[in-house]
Amino acid sequence: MNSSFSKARTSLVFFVFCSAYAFILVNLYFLQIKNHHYFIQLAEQQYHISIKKTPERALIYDRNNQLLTVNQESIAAFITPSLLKEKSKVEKILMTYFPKSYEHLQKNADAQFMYVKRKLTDEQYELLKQADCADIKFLKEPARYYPNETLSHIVGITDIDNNGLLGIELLYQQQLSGLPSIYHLEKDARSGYFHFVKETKHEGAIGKPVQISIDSDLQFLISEEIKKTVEEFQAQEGAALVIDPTTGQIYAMAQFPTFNPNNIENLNLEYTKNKIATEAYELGSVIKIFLGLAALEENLVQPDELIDCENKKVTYVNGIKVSTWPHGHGKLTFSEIIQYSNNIGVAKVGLRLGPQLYEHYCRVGFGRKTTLDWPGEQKGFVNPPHQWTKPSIISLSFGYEITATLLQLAQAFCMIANDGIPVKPTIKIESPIAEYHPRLYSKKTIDTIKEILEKTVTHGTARQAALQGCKVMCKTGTANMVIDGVYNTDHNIYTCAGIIEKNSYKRVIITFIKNARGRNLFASKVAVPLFERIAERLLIHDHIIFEDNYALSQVIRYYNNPC
Amino acid sequence: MNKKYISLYIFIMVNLSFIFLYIYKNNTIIALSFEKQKEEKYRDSLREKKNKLMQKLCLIQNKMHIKQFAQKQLQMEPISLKQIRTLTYE
Repeated sequence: MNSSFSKARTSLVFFVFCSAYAFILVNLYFLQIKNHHYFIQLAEQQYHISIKKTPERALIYDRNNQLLTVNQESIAAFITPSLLKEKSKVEKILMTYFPKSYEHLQKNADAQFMYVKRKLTDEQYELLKQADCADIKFLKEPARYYPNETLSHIVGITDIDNNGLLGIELLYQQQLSGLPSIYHLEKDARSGYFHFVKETKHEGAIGKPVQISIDSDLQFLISEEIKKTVEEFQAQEGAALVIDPTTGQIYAMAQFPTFNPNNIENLNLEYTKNKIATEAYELGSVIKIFLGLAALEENLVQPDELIDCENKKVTYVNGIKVSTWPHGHGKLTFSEIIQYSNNIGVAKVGLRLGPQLYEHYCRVGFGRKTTLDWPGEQKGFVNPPHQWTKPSIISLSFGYEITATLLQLAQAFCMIANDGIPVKPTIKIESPIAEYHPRLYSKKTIDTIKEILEKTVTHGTARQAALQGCKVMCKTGTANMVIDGVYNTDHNIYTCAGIIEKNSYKRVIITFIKNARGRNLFASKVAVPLFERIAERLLIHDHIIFEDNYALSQVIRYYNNPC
Repeated sequence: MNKKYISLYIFIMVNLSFIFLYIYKNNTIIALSFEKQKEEKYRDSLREKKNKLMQKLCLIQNKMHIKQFAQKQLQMEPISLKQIRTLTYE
């Protein structure tokens, strides 16, 4: 009996253990064979992650390798709404200081991630730190700092994700941002920042820096002068452009008012436009120089030909009422008509040209975009002959029914400075590829026009532009603005476009003031003094004025390069 | 018989040593990888410091501040062309 009992007991224990092992085997089957893929996936999610690493955004330099942008880190605050521990505290903070985020939280209470605010200011960051809320966390994001406010409309800004939004930042977005790399990392739950294996899934590329042709010191000096003029005349805005006519490189492209690129909280979009390229205006009398080019090239007039300007301020030319400022003139040579900017004389020459005037305006580049290819660049407008009414030829003669940007005007003056050979404006510092450009106007015509421009400074409307030791050629323009569909003589645009030359040194300068307050103002009082001050700054900045002073030029050369 | 046991013993020891060497190699790779990642992290922190210093430098070189310092502290004025005189070798 004892042996049968112990046999039964042994069998029972054996059966229990077999059952247990069978249970384990079945469980193992379910874990390792049936649910194999599920657990593999779970492990993959824990141990394998893909990260996308964006390279640091490349920098922008001016022509003297001065930094125009600096990379910095901005701080963003975020919360994980579905895992909040002190929800009421978080809601109170958001309701008080970040109401938009509070509304967003109410609508997305189950979200895994939510930004409270990106690009926190120092005050906001301190505020949130002092709030001492564990649910509000911080992370660092790339951002940009712009040291030179006078270049804000050229360099532009980046958006919240550090992608170019305006200006050079947008124009060269791909070059500056580079390409992101994608890596596959293998890590465990405790390794934190570190990984075991790193596999490159997609190799990116670092961004390449951009060097622009702008001289930031010159830009600053010119901006100061524009600001002074705008404030003096309580004008709406002002702008200036300096360009090298031999290479087409833009040395300065300044405007006032501008905006602070490091604080875009209450940004006025109007100030972000680079108005030199993106706004087209009826420029008035400054266009007369191109009528002169056309008439001389077509042999329809000679520079010393006398034309009767009728000694009146207002008269009728071909049945159309024409007025001239500030007073009438009697008989003038064609050269004097341009120098004194007499509308009556110019209208009579314009009639001789007829539809050819349109072709010449297009030839110098009006009515089409320049090669600068600026974002938002305007091509302007030249009224084509098939749309002309009776007054059109007369309006076109002295700069109405034609709109142009200051950049197009500069391009046209570069052609004159370059003895009739056109040049492409550029903002990049690269050496221009030698391209053949056919001469647009004969040397004789160009020389005549240059003489007229020089006499405009010595005898005409631009006397204040004269500079010692330097040849100055320029033309002024005062154009009425259209207010409520009608030309208004109390609201004007004042332009001065010209060339300064000394030996082989040449620069084209365009100055522009819009809507100065005050009556009886002309470009000779508003835009010409600005031209003169900018030219003076330019000559001193570029040390051109010292070329005749050998000893002084040697001192300056030593100072700049002691080696 | 002794030779047989000795050969077996050597065989097992060699295989065990290979296993340990393999483990040692993998450990070294991971340790060096961690070192490399630490250096990369240090390099990133240096880059951040460099950016901050560059920003400080740009602030110091702010042209408006320089102009105000020159005019107010040093009593300097911009040169005009009329002030420039011709110099000779003497």
